[in-house]
Amino acid sequence: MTANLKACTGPARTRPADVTAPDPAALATADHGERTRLLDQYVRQELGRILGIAPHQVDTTGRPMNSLGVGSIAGLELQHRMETALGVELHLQMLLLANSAAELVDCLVRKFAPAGDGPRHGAAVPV
Amino acid sequence: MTGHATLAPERPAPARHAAPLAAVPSDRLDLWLVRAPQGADATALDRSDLDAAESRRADSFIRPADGLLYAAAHVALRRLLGHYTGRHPADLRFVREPCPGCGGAHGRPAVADAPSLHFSLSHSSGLALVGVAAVPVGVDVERLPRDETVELCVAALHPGEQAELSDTGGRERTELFGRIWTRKEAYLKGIGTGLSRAPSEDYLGAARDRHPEGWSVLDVPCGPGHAASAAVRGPAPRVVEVRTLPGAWLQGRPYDRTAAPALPAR
Repeated sequence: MTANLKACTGPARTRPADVTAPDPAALATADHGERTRLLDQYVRQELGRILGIAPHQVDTTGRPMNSLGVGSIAGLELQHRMETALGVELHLQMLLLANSAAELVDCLVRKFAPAGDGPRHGAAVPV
Repeated sequence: MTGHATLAPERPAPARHAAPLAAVPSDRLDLWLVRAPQGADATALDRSDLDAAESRRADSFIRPADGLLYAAAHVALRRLLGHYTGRHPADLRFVREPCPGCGGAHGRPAVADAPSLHFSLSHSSGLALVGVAAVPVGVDVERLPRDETVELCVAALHPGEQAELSDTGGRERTELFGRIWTRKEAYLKGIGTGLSRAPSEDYLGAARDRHPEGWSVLDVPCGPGHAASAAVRGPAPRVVEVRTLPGAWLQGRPYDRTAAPALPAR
């Protein structure tokens, strides 16, 4: 059993560096490009910590969360860490079913975007 | 385990085989543990029953071991359901039942044109679990998390569950968290909402009489590194079979109904 579990942790499981969350106030005032860059960097760090891989190894575009290795408990941990660090609310099911980490980054970018900034989604802009 | 229909320890798979199964009776729950194949068994895993989407998904995992488990679990699921339905595994078509929350097509997975057969599949770090029943069923298996993860995740649970966890520590706490979480996820898969329903809504702790009405939740023995549970609608099944699927059962071509590897004898 021990051998099996070791084999299943996969290659290159490293201890990633500490995670530095971006300041929510800075996110709110940054332009769309900078906000995206900061949140992409942060999401990579959080995923790297949970998955035991380096942030630059996190594939943010080509794989759904499950394929990255994020199961329900890891998703719950990710939800808690990001909500605490950024002061936003995330939906666990949305997080787990995201088609890519980039989709999660986009969701966070929208949460910090002032009305009318960046690509519009849904009815976020008040009339 | 208090008050729960704790299941018998898993049995070693016998070498002799039985005939293909008929439909599962309404008072029985069949649970199949599938261990990720290792070494030569991994090479011999026959993926030819998987459809294009399943094959793509198996290849998409960042860790090859996760992809191998996914492939083995889905080969196992198709071959098991092939036996229960009498159909060729590759011919099975999966559909989604309506979501009980919004009616959208993302509820429980089901076999198309087999309304009396219910199944559920879960996999986590080297181990998969398949549940098959004549009533709606949900199963969940999880590798036991790190202490730090447990600490962070407890706050998302039902207050009654949090209280029970606060009375424990160390390994006992980790195992209790795993038990509560897998019961919860099995139940939420069974009712069809999955985790779109908040984990804090339902109590799946030690007091069985406080569990959600109309469902029976069982703890499934699966070894020291994981926790696993199953939930079925209605009363607790009279017969619960927990078996480990032999690795050889996931290999071999040609695969047809007459030449299929048989299930282990009961």
